[in-house]
Amino acid sequence: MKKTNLVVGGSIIVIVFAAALVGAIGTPYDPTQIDAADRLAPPSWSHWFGCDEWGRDVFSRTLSGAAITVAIAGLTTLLATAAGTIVGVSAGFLGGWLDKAVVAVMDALLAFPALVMAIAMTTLLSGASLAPVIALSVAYVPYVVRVVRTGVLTIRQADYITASSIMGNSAAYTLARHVAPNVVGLVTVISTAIFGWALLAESALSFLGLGLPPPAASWGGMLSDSRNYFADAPWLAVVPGLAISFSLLGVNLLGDGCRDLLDPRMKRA
Amino acid sequence: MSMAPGSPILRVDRLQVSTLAGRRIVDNVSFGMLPGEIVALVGESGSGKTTIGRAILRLLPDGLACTGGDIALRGDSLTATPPRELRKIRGGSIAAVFQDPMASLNPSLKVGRQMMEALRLHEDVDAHEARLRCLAMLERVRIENPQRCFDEYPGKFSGGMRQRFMLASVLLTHPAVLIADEPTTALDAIVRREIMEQAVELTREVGTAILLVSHDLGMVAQYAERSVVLKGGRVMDQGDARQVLLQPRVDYTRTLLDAFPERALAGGGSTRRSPLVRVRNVDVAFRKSRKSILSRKEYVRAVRDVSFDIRSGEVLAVVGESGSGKSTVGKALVDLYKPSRGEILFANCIERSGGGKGGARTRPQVQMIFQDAGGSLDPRMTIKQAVAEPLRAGGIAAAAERLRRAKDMLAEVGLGDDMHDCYPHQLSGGQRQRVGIARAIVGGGDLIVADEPVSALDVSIQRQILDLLKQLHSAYGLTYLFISHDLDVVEELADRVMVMQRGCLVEIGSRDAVFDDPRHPYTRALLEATPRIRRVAPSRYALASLTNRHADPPSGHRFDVPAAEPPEHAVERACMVEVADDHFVRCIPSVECGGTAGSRGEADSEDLPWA
Repeated sequence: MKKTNLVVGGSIIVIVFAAALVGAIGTPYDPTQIDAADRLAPPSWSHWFGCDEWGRDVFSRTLSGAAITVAIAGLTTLLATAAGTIVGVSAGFLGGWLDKAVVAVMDALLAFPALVMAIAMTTLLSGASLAPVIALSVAYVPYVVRVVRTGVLTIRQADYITASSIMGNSAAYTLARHVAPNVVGLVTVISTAIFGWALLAESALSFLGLGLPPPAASWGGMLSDSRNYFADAPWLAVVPGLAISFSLLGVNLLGDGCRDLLDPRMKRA
Repeated sequence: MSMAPGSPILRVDRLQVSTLAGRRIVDNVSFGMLPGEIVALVGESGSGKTTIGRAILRLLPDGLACTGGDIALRGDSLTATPPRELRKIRGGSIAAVFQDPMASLNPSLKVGRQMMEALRLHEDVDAHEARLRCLAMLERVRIENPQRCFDEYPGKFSGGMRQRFMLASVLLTHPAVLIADEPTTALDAIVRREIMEQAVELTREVGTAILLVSHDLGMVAQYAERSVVLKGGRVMDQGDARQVLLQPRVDYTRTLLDAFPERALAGGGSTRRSPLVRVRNVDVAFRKSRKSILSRKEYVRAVRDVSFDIRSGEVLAVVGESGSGKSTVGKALVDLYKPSRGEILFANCIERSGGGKGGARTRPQVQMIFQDAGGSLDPRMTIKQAVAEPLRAGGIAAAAERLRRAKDMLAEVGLGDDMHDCYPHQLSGGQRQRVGIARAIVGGGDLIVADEPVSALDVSIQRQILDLLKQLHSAYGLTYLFISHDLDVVEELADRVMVMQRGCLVEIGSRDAVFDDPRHPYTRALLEATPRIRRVAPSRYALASLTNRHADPPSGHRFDVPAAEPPEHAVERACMVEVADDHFVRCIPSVECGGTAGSRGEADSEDLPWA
């Protein structure tokens, strides 16, 4: 029963990643090709999801958008998780002034809403194609640090850490062999959460026009463009909207499933 | 089963409690309680004793339900009582005290208010009268200065004080039945004794019957009049408490009694062996957390000027109540705490002297066995990996060789091949402790510090682990520093015993000397307070008030009882005086004879007579 989350979430994520792959390799139509004849064409056999106000194929644009969104969200997750885990584990395990400094900086960062900070940073870094990735990573690192550091603080109190030190193991070995494996579960769960947030935030940034510049396709951008045509062509809003919701659902289910799977104490003996 | 004359106040009749899946937790249990009687439910974990208590309160946890039988209070069935009526009965006619008083006390309400609330819920009294009755009750449970305690929050008090508050507040309403579920398990021996005696005395006055739920056979034999022995939810035997427990008629009770620790004849501790570790004038101090960054650094001395030897191949037990510093001594030996003063010498190589580094790393291996074996094992390592781990630090490079040795060791502690790839959470408590022991011994350690290794285990499992510890002790020629508050276990295992109080060593000697001829008042109080199943007098139950039969101190001395908070730089004049061969007691020279007191200076620390 617990596996259901993992299977359903995993399948959704596989579909989303497959779509992204197709979007990156080759779509049925060129996602940026304008065709006046097909302007606002409803869904049909030749254009499954219809066409937008420029006559571009919405299906192709959705796939292409998937590639961009997944790439940005994935990179953000990798960067934020890696940086956050390193900082969080060191701060939690070593303690002392380093810990105090890290907590102070992270609290300061957390005081800004992530999206507002991402908007500010994207504006500052405008032009760079990795601007959203860097901006979102910086915004999410504090969340990873907070979760990982708290986890490490609990683990550090455990008798098995004491036992390791009595055995004569070095701090580095204890960190690598006993502390790190026990935060893997936490890191996995927080990283899936961040993938979800980053996906949503990327859409929000493109919706606000801060994503990749047009004519590149992105789900947020498509949603934004659809506003003026909603009455005539509702599919323009429904398709990217569903794409975003569907991906988020998958990410969240996968996150829950991973946590259940990775925590050995939840397994039945 | 014979019912005593008179009608029972509480009657449990063929009670059945089952899980939703239909497994019976309590099966066909019947017993009765007379007014003012103390009835004990005894059994190991999983025997259903707590569940029965809960069923009587009609407070079964989710997933359990009463599926048969009846519980009647004064002849009225409780199973048919509507919830509204039940609330009046609970806390009114039937009261309960649990193991953890803090879980029953609201930390954000003053003690007095909580007591008055309970009273006024059940009786129509005005605030003034309620206050007076509460204060009177607090005085009855011997709380000093009840007026002041009344306006304090529960967090201010020790576990024993909190349990006294609980007792006072539940007895305010003069309940007919008091369900006491392991009421003193979390408390130290002396406090435990006081609370039990007060509970018995009070309930005698009021006529309350006590249902004592406990795993502690000694305590049951001491205080209960009748007892019901449970196993797996079934009644094994019931009747007069002492007969049932001390002259067991059924196999199960006999097994329990046999499993109980017992002193072996002829303790081998009398022979003097060469010291493996010398502990000299060791202080361990901890910094108190400062209220502000500007305030002065303050220290708590958890261990105060303690000196002793651990002799090669012996079992040296450390006893004392919580906060006596016994665990701190153990942790200083495994290098978890640095002594702030004094030194710990391993087989003549100076190491870890107070302050400064530079101790040689060549020292005998010291390993540790923890009380919570589960917590001491990494949840992400199989037990095979866990046992192999100390070998890595011990310098065995080949992983295959480490695993092979780990497997041999696991086999030796009685864990078969099929278990070697298990994770700790897949094992039982006893099996986990076996893994902990295997890990401590596998590296060829000389000294094993065992910190309450069997305290969390049931009697029968405790027996197995004790046997294993003894067997390994002789097979490997190990030396144990055995830290425990359980005097029964200590009496069985130890060659020598050291008694600690408030961070000080107050008495040290061979096991027989300390147990049979205790000299220090604290040792005496400790021994008297612990109910010992093998020493329960066969006579009928009687309240034995704490008699302070002090032995005479050695001439020219008086006994020293360490102060709770000694002034920081007080001149400690106490010294260890030999009262019998190899048996020393902490005393203060009563006359000014500087010679004796001065002898405990640092100069001749190599050859302390009591070490």
